[in-house]
Amino acid sequence: MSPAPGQHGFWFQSVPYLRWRLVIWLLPVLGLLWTVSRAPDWLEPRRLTVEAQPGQSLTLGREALWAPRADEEHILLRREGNREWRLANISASKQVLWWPASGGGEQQIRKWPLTPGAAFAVGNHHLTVLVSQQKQLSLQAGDQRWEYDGIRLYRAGQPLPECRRDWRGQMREGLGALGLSLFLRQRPLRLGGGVYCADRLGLAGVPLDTVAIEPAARGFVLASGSAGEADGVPVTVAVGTPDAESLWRRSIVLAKGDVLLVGHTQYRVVEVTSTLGLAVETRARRVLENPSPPAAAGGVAVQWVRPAWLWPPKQQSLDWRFGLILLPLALSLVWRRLRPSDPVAGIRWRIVLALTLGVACLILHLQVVSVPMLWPYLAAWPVLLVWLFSVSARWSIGLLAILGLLLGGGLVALLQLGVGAGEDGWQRYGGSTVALAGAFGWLVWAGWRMLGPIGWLNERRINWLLHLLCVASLALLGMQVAVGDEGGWMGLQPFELTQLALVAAAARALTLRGRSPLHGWSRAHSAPWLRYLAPLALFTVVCGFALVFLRDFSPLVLLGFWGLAMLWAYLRAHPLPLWRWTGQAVVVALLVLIGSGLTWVRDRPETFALPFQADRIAAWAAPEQYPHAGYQPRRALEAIRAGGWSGKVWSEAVNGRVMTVPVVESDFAPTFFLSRYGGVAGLILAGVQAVFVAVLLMIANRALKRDRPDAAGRPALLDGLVYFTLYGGAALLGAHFLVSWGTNLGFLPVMGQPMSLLSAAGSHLVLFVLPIVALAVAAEEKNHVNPR
Amino acid sequence: MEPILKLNRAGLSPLMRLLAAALFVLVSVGLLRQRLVAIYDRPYALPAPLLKSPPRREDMLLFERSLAAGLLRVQADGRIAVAPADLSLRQIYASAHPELLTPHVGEPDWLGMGWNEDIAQIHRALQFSAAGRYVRQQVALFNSRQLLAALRWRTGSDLAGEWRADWAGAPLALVDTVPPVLDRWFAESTRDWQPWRWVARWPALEGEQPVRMRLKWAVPLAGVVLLEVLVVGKGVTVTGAQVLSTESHCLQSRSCDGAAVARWLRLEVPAKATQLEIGFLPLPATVLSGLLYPGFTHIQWEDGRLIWRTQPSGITTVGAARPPAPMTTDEE
Repeated sequence: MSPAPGQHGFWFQSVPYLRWRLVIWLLPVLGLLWTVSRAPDWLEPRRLTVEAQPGQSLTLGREALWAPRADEEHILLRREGNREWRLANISASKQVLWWPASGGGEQQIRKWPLTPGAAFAVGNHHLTVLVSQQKQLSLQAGDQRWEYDGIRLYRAGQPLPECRRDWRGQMREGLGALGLSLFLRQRPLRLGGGVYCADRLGLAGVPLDTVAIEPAARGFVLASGSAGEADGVPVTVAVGTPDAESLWRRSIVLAKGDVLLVGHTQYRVVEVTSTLGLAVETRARRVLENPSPPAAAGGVAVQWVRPAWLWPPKQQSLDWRFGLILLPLALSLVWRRLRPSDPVAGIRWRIVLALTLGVACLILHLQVVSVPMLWPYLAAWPVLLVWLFSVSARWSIGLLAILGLLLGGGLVALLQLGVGAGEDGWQRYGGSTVALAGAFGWLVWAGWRMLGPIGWLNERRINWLLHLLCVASLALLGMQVAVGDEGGWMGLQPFELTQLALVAAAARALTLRGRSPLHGWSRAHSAPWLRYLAPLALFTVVCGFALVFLRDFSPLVLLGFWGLAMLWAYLRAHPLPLWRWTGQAVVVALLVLIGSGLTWVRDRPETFALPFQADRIAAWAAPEQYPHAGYQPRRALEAIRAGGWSGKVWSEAVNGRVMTVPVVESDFAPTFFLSRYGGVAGLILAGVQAVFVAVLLMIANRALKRDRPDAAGRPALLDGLVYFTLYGGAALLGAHFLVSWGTNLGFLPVMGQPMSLLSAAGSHLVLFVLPIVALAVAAEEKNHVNPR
Repeated sequence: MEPILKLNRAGLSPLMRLLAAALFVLVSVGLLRQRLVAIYDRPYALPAPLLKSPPRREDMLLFERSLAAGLLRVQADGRIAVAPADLSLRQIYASAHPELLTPHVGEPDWLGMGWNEDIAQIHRALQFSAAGRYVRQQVALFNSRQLLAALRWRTGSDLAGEWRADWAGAPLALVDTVPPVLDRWFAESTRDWQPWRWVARWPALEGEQPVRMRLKWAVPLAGVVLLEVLVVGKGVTVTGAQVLSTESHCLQSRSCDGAAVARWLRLEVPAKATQLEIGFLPLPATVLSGLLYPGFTHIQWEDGRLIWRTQPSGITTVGAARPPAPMTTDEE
């Protein structure tokens, strides 16, 4: 019952469940308002002003810079002349990162460019630079001559072998031997250690990675390595000249526009005159307004501001990317010209508004650190109301309502994470998650309205969509292996999209099997068994990726759960009763076996004889003996215990010690929830999660029951596909919930999975959870529109 | 058997499905509640079997296994040497490419020890695991107390200056609190002297190197200045001033020569001088019994061998660069 165009006024009086839809949407809004109203009166440092006389130095650290993760004495600022300020890193082992305004990306402060004729000393070793150009470096150490071209080290003209003989090393050697070194990326030469090989220059008595020689734009620079410490092996640069100094004491000249990272706190240099002005960008320490904070500490004057809730602070202009919001508006004008007789022209302005808000949400996600705290919530949360009023099937409304409760609860918790933290910058997790969810919601709504009813999804288009999904997910995964790392690529986790592709591909294979007239592995042309191989191949890729690249076993646990659920889904719908009953009994027996096996291993951890993950199992079974390996779960349990049944957020608005639990925004977000809101709230959350999974399963079952044969007598593809996809998706969601509760409460030895709809896991939300929900809603809407 | 085309749509009736869903929700919430009750009611006393033989913690086990495997070695000056991070690669190259190994001078011979898969695993744990990081942190803390070098000075004229120390080029951090046994020993005779300059932390450099302590002042001296310096160390050399007299102090008696622990120097600094340098070798901490508190770190000497005590009885932070607390919040 979508509203007819032109009617205003009274249409909403005939909408069923109107009050329920509004109430469900308003509940998280009330939670957000309550969190905001109870927020502590924080003051954040906005600008630091350093004053010094010419020639005077200042040592600044954690106190003066309001940087909680910095050392007590971290940087040395020295005013050289009238307008020249130099900065040196005097911390023993912590870095100060520097992005100069003149470009060049991230630079180290402790670095020294190598020029021909210069010399440097590492411990007792004296090295002289003979040649230093792009891709060609020549060093003399004692009576040895070394050459380095950015890829491989040469000793007296002879190339040295790769250090490690694994697949990467062999590939590099092979490419180098073939002369294809253009495809190899340049890498730094690590000094220290005890061997000479392709990227290591061993120096006796010097630990590996004390210093490194890095390729730079024009030549090479000597920079501090990952194991270099200011009070360790001494490194002197420019030996033999009056400019000789320790590498650890190198300083840089600050320019306006430079960005610095001290500890975890980011600063931008805004003024380099007789005073040095630093604008604090993010992750600085917050102070309560009462008692009022000092105006100056340690020679540094501080300007305090309140956190920005709705209005951006003065003197800050919006980023140019916000101009992209005008793009959909421009498109709308063109649209009218192109297709004036479009049937959707009547609600064109709503689609344009939805597109604009979708683009705005995307931009808010990218700029979440610099926008006021509530903007992402204001832009994104109304989309749920729009969806609740756009769908008409009872089950869609119910599913969206439960999704709204879960997502809203998670967002309230993430807002509390940002609001109650003693550091600025935690609000970006909640803001980023809600902005991504909002972008997905608005863009999919706009797409649905543009494309019309769902009947256009026929079998051929579904097959094409599935192929596109598989190819896209494999391509993204390949990009992550090539240029990304375990944390993802470009801020995305392509692994989630691959999980979705796997679920969909397996669903299609099972549907094809279910409707095939032929059973078994016949070679007949109409035998679909070749199509079963596609999901199997995808499955192997996913498992291999998780094991080899991520080195994480938790996805295998999830996929094991999913495999069992797929088996159950197939067997419970099998036409032959023997298969049905014995199959279901086997699955139940397997589950019981796994559960009892876990309990048995916990009581007798030494019987777990497999070498891999043995220490993880042992740390889980006996946490008192493993205070280091079991550190994260132990801290989590302490925080949960401190919360109690009723939680602490009702009396203390400041988050307190729970913020010291590692990764409290993603893997250990349930710990934060339990610690702040209490055990009772946790039980309610678990109940709603169980209802969510149950509703998804019931929608899947309804799709199966609607299954009708098509003209050729075969079952329709869509309903079977919906059944298996939703079953698989619900099983994976349930597995996520189970593993996440298990990690936080300590009853499973698995770690590393965020909790869906509570943790700040944007990729998981947008690439997996919301597409599954969208599929369920689409199936129910299609049925509502064309009931069969 | 005749193949059936459709997926069977037999299932439960709506009421049974609703009941099954309700059961699923109740079971999930019930199991979770049970686990939460277990967490909230955790008994604070250890059960009896555990009290009798306290479980051996992972860091203690790793320390003992590393000692037994030879990855941690006690050197002549009392410090513990830790096997380098790339030892596994060195072992591979020792057999595959022996010409590509660096000549090891001035460091222990790590390749001479036996090497097998067990030792490689212990080495990996020592270098890359959280417990290994903690063990190496404790070893560094232990090593920082194994050498002793301190200085105290007094001058009649109002000569102000700051002492800086370095050890084979590496700068040393100086603090003005010394262990009480040292303080008590000279408390009477040096009551109104300038504060102690004590080397708090020693970098992990090999070999016996002299400590160089330098006193610099900005303005050249107008006239001759007399200084008295008490140096805790051996083999003292002075540059930039003339030594008027030297007195050796031992633990047992007032003056001795052989086993001197401290030297009392009277120096004359000429006019127009701008710096004074005193070089001396640090002493092993064993010369001062009672210097090493039994509780400042987990690692202790007992009956001539190193052991790991689970509970350090008292933690002193005198000059300790890093507090020996397990896993600070910065670890992650």
